[in-house]
Amino acid sequence: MIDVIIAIAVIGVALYGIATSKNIIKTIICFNILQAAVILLFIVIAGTTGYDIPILTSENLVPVDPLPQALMITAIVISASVTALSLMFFVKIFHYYGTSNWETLISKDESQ
Amino acid sequence: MIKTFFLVLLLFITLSIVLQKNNKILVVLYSGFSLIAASLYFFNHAPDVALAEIAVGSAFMPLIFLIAISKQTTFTVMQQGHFHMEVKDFLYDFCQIENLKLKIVQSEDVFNDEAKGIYGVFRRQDIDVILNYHPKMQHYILTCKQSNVMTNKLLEMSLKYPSIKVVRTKDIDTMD
Repeated sequence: MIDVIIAIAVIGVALYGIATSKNIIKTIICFNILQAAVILLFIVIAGTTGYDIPILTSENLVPVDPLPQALMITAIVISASVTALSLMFFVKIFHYYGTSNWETLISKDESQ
Repeated sequence: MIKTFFLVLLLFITLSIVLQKNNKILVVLYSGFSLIAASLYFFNHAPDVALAEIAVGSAFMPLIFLIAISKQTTFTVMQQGHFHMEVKDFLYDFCQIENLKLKIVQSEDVFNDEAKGIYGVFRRQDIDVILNYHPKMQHYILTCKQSNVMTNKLLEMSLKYPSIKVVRTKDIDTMD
């Protein structure tokens, strides 16, 4: 029970960081934390269905459901590529506007 | 018991990431966050997910983040022709004030056979300033992008130096 509560709390803190941070790098890191917390929520809920890892070495085991785990490996790989893409856009934006602050960026964009 | 300890540690490290302001410390804290999350996956009977998270989250992600941060702190100047001590001191002073790392490249290295004009340089090589010397007027010309925040600071600082002129170019030609 405490795992589910803490995973949801981490999701809330990461959403707060996305909404309030002025640094672009920090926003991207908060997106990654949000994704890791969602994966933790899936893994924790799938972990309550059994008592052993889903590798059948003998017949007496009660393994957990392996389907959410397989989905979450895909989610990790997708998040890595999304991070690489957003960092590439960050470098482009930095060389064009010369700043990594959201507020300076938005005021610069409106003045043109 | 140890699972609860890791869960509380995860919450604390998330709070410290949200409150942190230094970029390099942020990356190291994110690496630690990934390790703690991976051990939590392992305790919840998912060793395959933990292995993928360790490989991607605590090794590959900090690497690309550090590359992006190092791109953020370099100030690239492309020089054409003569390059004297006065303008070099000016650029070093500017980088000292703004906490940047000065990187000077030669125009011969940048212009290869695929380069067609001066505006294409901004797009391809991520160059911030083009520096050249006007022999008849006897002053240096620094060509910058108008959209860049650094250009205004450079313009303010160049007013003290009579031999340095800052020229701002339109950005429409440099956008893809």
